[in-house]
Amino acid sequence: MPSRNQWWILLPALFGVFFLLPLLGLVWFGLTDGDVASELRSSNTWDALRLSVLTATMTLMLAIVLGTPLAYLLAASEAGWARLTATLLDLPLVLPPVVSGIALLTVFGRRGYLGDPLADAGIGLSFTTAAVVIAQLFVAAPYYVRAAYAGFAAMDPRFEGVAYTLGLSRWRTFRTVTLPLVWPALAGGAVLCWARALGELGATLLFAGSLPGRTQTMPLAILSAFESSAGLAGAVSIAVILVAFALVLMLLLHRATTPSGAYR
Amino acid sequence: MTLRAGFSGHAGDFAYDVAIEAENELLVLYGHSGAGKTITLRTIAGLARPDAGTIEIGGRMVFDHASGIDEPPQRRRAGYVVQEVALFPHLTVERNVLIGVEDSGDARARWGQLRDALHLDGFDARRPHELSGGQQQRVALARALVRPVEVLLLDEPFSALDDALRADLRAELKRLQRDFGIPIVFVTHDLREAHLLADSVAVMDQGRVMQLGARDEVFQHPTERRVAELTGVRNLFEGHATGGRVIVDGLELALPANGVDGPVDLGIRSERCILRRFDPDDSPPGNCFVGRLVEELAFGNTHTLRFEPDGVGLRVEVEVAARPYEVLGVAGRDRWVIELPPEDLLVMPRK
Amino acid sequence: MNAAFRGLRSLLFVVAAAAVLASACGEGDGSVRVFAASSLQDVLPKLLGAYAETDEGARFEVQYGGSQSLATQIELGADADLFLSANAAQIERLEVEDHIEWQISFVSNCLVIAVDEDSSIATIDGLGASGVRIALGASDVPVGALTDLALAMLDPSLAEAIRANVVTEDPNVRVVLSRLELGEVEAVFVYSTDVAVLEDVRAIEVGGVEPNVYVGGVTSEGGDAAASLLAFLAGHEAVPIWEAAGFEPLNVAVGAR
Repeated sequence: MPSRNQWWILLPALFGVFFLLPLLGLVWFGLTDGDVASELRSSNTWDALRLSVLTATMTLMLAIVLGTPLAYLLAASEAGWARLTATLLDLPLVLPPVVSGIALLTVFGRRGYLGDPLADAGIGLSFTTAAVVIAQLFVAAPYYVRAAYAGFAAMDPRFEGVAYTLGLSRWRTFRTVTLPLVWPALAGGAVLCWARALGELGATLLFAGSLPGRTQTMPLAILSAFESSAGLAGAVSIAVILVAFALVLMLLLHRATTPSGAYR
Repeated sequence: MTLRAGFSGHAGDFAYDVAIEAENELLVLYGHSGAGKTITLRTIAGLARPDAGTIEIGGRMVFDHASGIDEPPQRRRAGYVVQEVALFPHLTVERNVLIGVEDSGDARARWGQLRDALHLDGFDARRPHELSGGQQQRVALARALVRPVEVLLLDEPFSALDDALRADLRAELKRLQRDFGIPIVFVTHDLREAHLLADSVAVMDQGRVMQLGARDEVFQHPTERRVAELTGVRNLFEGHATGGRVIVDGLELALPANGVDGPVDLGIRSERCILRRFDPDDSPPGNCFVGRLVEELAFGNTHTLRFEPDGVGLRVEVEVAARPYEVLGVAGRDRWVIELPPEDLLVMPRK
Repeated sequence: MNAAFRGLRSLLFVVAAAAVLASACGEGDGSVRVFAASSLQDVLPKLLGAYAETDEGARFEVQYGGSQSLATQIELGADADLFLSANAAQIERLEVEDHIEWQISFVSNCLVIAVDEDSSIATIDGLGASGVRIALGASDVPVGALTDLALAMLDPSLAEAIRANVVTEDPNVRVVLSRLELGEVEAVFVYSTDVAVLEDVRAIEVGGVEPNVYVGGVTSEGGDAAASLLAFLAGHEAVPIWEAAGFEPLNVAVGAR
């Protein structure tokens, strides 16, 4: 227990309260003024929730599969291009999501640079569920890559060197030596990435549109409700459901990714 | 089993050009920090690529720039133990040791032998953070040797340990070298440790091997001034040798009979100088001069004495052991006769 | 290196603090705070400019948005003096709760289908063809509600074909329009006024629905300045500006409290 003299502990406590109170307020508002029960019964809500969880999870899978090697290469390279690329990858974090959506359209949209080639190949991307994943990937993957890059960069490269001299192939070294050592950083990044993908609104709206069942994720459902006659109460009711699910899933994700046992 | 390597390269701004050779012996790679010792080991191990040259381990060419041979570290059969150990912290001792080998009967038998030799019984299930520094080093050694390696590369493995522990580990290392019969390249910047362990010494400075040879040869017959400096010769002078004699600062000295003439660097180790009581009536033998004691450093088991010449002579540093120091009665007398025996003078041609 | 890092941290702290303070002091006094439907975004600044010529010293702060969400914000106590809604229902809703002092309908706007100038689509029937991608407003947004009505007026099989071609139901009309601008869809259901703003775009009439009437309301917080502005917007001085933008002025003096 902090002693009396550690008054400064008040500051982080207040900060924590700053985050906690609005969430509690939201839940209270939703349960009293809103009609969470009817929203729970609405198939629209479940469609949106299922779509959100599905797309966010797919986004996370892609971010891990594509982003881990990228982060590893960036961390291993000392060349200038690595620094530049790492900085460029941070740009989606700065862009307002709507701008990210427009950026994606300039490439993948029907009039985009890849529009004609894709159309010829029979691939139409806009307004599909795949487009939702692409938009989420663009805005959320940088969170994962950043965390992974930091993790790999912080690892002592001598571990890998020693592993090679012991006869371990590069892949085996990565699996049995590197990954366990950087696992906490990767896990943290994964949680952030998934959460960000789940909450994404602007980029998916612009790039993928909003159609119930196909592209209307939870955030879009909440926005729709807000703009509708259900208004604020309707929006908050759905939001409460989203918060509840997100909380449970994040706790599970956290559990699954926290390293067990103490090793330095 | 031999190691033969001659290569040159650069790491950033640092250029290196190294040639070393070791048979079934312990070769100490000695030099100050930044001399290029670590990069040399890493290059032999395959973790750094030089710009040119060849590396041959156990009669097998593992690197040859000209013909494009470049075996990856996995296949060089070089055991490598780094400073700060780098045991994998998330694995037990047993997994650490066996990670690189097939889980075969042979490997386990070898691990059993090493476990006994290095006194690591009962540690199999422990994690590295549960072990002391010395135990971690021994595990690292075992791990490097459990595979059939043809050379062992050690990069200042004992630098973080206390003296008693280092002494034990050095003894074990020498024993292992004899038992396994492979060359060991041992990097250190500690002169005493270098002398203790070495069968051969390679003195490195600024990316180059200045001298390579048997330990006594290098310590007693340095080929140039810098090697003498690096190997602890504290008294160094310049002069011009003619017919077996040289004049330095007005003092004439007889040189050992090896016939070197011309401009030379001259040196003598502190512990080889002879100190005699000053007696104005005595006529001292050759290679002597009178000096005044100006500084004294008491190390306990030895004393380092610094002298300025009284009249014609040289500024020298003399090292005297505790007993002779007492017997001579150094404390309390300030004028001494210092003799520089010709056979102890190191004569190095100056370029 | 350390000193530079510390300096940078202090600088960031100062900048952040200044930003927070600056945003907190954002409100000016004496300006008329207007909440306006998004579809008025292009024409309102011109109107305000014209009004300012008659009344120097008048200042305005305008916030645009979907009529639904603006009404909700007013309901929750947002500071607004004048509400220009694209939908009478929103004004009614607020009037029931005593938020509106005085209201008047001032212009109307009709629903059209916008397509590219060189599009092969000529009538609403063309929207049922396969491969035609359509964007509309979501049903609970004014433009979307109007679109639903229009489609309900059609032959059921045509309406079904059109519905099948809908790829997105957007939360406000600006987003709907952007789909056509970006070339992502072939046709959008928007207002005639939106078509007036764009180049290379053609409007197709939609029958069977009443024009969309814009109603303005002075809120219970609004004062004379707000009322004066609303009167201007509904008056004959504003007519040329409205017509140039594609709206139809109503010049109806009705709904005074």
